[in-house]
Amino acid sequence: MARIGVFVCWCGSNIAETVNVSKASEISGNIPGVVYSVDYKYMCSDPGQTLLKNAIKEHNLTGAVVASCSPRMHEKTFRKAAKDAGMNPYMLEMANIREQCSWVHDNKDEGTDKTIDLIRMMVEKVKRNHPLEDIKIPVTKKALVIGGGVAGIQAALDIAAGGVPVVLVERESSIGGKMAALDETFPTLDCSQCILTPKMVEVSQDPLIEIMSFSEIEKVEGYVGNFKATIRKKARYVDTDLCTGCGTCWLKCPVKVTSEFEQGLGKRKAIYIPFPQAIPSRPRIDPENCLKLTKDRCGICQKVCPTKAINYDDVDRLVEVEVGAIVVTTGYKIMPVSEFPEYGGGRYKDVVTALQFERMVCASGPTLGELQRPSDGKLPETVVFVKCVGSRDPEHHHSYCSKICCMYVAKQTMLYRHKVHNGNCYVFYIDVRSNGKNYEEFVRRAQEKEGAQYIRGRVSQVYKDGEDLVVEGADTLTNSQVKIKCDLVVLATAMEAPDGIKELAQKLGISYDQNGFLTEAHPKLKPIESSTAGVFLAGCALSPRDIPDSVSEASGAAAKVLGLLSKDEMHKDGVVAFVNEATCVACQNCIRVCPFVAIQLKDICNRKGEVLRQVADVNPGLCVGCGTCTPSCPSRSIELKGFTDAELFAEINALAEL
Amino acid sequence: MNYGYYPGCSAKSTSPEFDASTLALIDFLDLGIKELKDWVCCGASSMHAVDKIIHTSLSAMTLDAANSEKKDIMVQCPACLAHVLEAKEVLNENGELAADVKEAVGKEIEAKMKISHFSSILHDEYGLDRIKEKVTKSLNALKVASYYGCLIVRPQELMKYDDPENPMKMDDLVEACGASPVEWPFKTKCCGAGTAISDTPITLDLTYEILRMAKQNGAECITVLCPLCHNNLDLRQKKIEERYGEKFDLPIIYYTQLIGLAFGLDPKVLQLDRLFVDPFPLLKSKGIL
Ligand SMILES: Cc1cc2nc3c(=O)[nH]c(=O)nc-3n(C[C@H](O)[C@H](O)[C@H](O)COP(=O)(O)OP(=O)(O)OC[C@H]3O[C@@H](n4cnc5c(N)ncnc54)[C@H](O)[C@@H]3O)c2cc1C
Ligand code: SF4
Ligand code: SF4
Repeated sequence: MARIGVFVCWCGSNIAETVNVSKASEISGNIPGVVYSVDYKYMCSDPGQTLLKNAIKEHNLTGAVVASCSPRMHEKTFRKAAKDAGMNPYMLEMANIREQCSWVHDNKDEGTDKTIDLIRMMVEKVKRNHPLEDIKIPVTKKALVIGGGVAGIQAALDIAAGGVPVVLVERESSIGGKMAALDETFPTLDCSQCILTPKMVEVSQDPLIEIMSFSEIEKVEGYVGNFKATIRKKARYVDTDLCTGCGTCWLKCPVKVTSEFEQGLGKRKAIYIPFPQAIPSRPRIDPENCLKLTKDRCGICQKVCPTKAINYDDVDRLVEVEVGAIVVTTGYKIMPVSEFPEYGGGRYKDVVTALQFERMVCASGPTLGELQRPSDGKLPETVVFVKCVGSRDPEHHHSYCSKICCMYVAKQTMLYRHKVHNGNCYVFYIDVRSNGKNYEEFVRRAQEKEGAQYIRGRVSQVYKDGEDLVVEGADTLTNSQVKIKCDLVVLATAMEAPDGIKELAQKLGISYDQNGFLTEAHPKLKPIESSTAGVFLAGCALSPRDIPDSVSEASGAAAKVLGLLSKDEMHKDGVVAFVNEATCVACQNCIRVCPFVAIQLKDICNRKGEVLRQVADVNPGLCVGCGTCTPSCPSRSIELKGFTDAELFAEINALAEL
Repeated sequence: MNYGYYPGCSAKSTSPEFDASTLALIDFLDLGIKELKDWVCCGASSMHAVDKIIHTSLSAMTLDAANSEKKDIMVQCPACLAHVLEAKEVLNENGELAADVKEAVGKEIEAKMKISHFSSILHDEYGLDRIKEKVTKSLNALKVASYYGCLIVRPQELMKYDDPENPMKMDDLVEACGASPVEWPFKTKCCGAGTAISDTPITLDLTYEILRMAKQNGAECITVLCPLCHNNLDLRQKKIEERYGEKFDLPIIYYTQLIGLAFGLDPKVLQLDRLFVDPFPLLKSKGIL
């Protein structure tokens, strides 16, 4: 016989104002099977939980219904309390009389009646509930980090510091990401290379970190604690074990092509490392430009390589790694100027992106930090910066704000004025967003002490008038049109999700937003978790961010990974789908609809091992209990534990008083 | 091709040479396009600012005129084009304004017809290759700056004419006729339009910049497709030159006139003599005439 307790919460006045809680508790006491009922001011408080625990023990309760807030809020709390008192936690249910009753109604009588209905429904369900066990899953104590920018680097270092091995996959031939290409960084103007390269070296020297550069994710299977990732190590034509990074090959290679790392402003060879501090410091051959690989000529690098590391017959290789957790730090890309013909992008060489400007002033850049405009090498005496190019422009491009352009433009005006003391620099802006520690002070410094002239308004057109570039725009503070003749225009183009991100997200089973940025599980409370357990996110893969934010999230994700992998086995909610093998006809409807690929076919064999038939089989490690499969089954063979037809129909029948 | 020609009021008043050269091309290419019988003035630059219902109804009546002849509409003036396209959109969306318009016009008007600018018809439907074949008198590498003005490309969603930042249709057409299009940045800059009447100096400033930029980029003449642009650049060129103390001498020639010349049509028929900035010295020096 069921012995059920009902606990009606006031939630202060949140519930009690619209629901007569004492009446609800009294009437609930008369529902068949209910042996105890009570109302209390705050059920979630310590005394509230003690009340629950004591009642379970004293009245030998077999089940309980807590009528209070949403189960999203406190189901865990009350189920844990029940467990502490010796009851199977799944025998406790919550009736949501706050979000679904008191907060949305104002008539107290009706609110009270509805509360009683909700309680009756849950009592009937609890009567049919079965005790469930948490699912235990063994974990692989190894992590995968995808994307080797500053966020990925930080995540890898922190995970390794916790003693867990890490595989760091980067699709370019070196780790470092965008930060490796920056000059000095706001708000302290420390040199990006000086703070990043030591970290890159640390990664390469950490025995727990394996870098797989020039590699991409091919496939990911499995589930939290037990992922199996297939990684494509793209053909590099250089044996990285034999190569010592001596540099003879790229010195001698006769082919010069445009360097991606230098944002098109410098050259590299066909065999190259993207920048001198590259990690790993091993070159790769670019097969599209190598003479040997395109025309079967040259072959110089192989001849000069002292360690015989060059292999023109190299092919892609697939490797499998098993990991317990994944961190995605795939960063961003910026919009190219060619998307902005109205600003002369793609038409005039001296209209550049902000990332190109970083290379133009960087001591390690193509001109070794000597500022020259691309068209003719002239020192620009007047520079115009245009902010929000492609950002905050829902009609044409993106509606979002790229968040950090305000800051790096302020920085770049300073970098410019430090090189050209009498230079003029103008900034067209919509707003100045400088909401970080010491950020506002930094922007003020650019405006008040370092001579940047800010003009509030948008630019309508950039064109060439003789030798000069002319920027035409509006000054909305003086309500006038402005025309500025200048030598160089820097467009702070929008930060976008990187290429290939959607495909990667699909492989990982995580979601992305309409802009292609990865989506967090909860915007406030789970900002670095993805929608898939065991997959974490950090840095610009989520949306535009600066370095401090990217790094803090990376450390946060690392802490989550370490927490997850600290145990030998994981416990997972017992609410998963299960199949009645006697009635399943293997139509595979459920397999097709399961968004988490948690259902497969399994063979039913006789004693001799001959396959008699097949049935659907749920992998409880992968199943998240979403319930999508259950209505798809024509023979009602797949059900969700804790939400079986019997339990749910009992609720409905109770409401209909059948 | 089943177009009826909607000339608009400029063609019948200030810009008869645009009308004449258009009809000459239609005739020469045997396009079979005739003027719509009952077209109505679109309200020009003022009506849309005064009364939305009357403004839309005027263009709706032109749509109706096309319907009664079972024709699509060919337009030359960009303002007329914008207004008939807008009326078509209003009628098809069938909202409150459409109801008001129906009441004002006194009948249901179907808005299914195609509406195209003549340059699009030549460029996209007749085709550059066929135009090339018809050229008997090459424009001899005449350096032409194509000036489209602000209206034909904007708003892009409505006009769907060409790349709003760098349209190429007229450039392509005159190139097919043997001219050398000039690459310049002011193809779609505003000429001041109607402010020429209310605040002339503003227009003079704007048109000065257009002329200066065309000249700087090597143009020997400017070709246009809008009667208002034409007025501001041609009629007022002397004034601009006086105001800035700078001589331009840039003939402003309708694209239909240039194409007509390449087809060997009589300059009189094309009414080249009606232009204020005399094009004949240039055309002669280039061996086109
Ligand atoms: C012009 C400019 C100036 C800036 N200046 C500053 C500054 O002064 N201070 C500051 O705090 N911030 C600055 N920033 C911002 C800074 O660049 C970012 O905050 C930071 O680089 C983010 O790091 P990340 O690791 O998230 O992304 P990224 O640096 O973009 O790194 C992502 C990495 O993932 C790799 N990757 C992508 N997709 C895949 C895939 N599918 N598989 C494997 N690998 C993949 C990429 O190759 C890359 O190496 C600036 C940005 C710009 C554009
Ligand atoms: S073989 Fe290719 S990579 Fe090697 S030196 Fe020649 S061109 Fe360069
Ligand atoms: S849908 Fe039902 S019957 Fe079909 S395979 Fe799945 S469990 Fe079996």
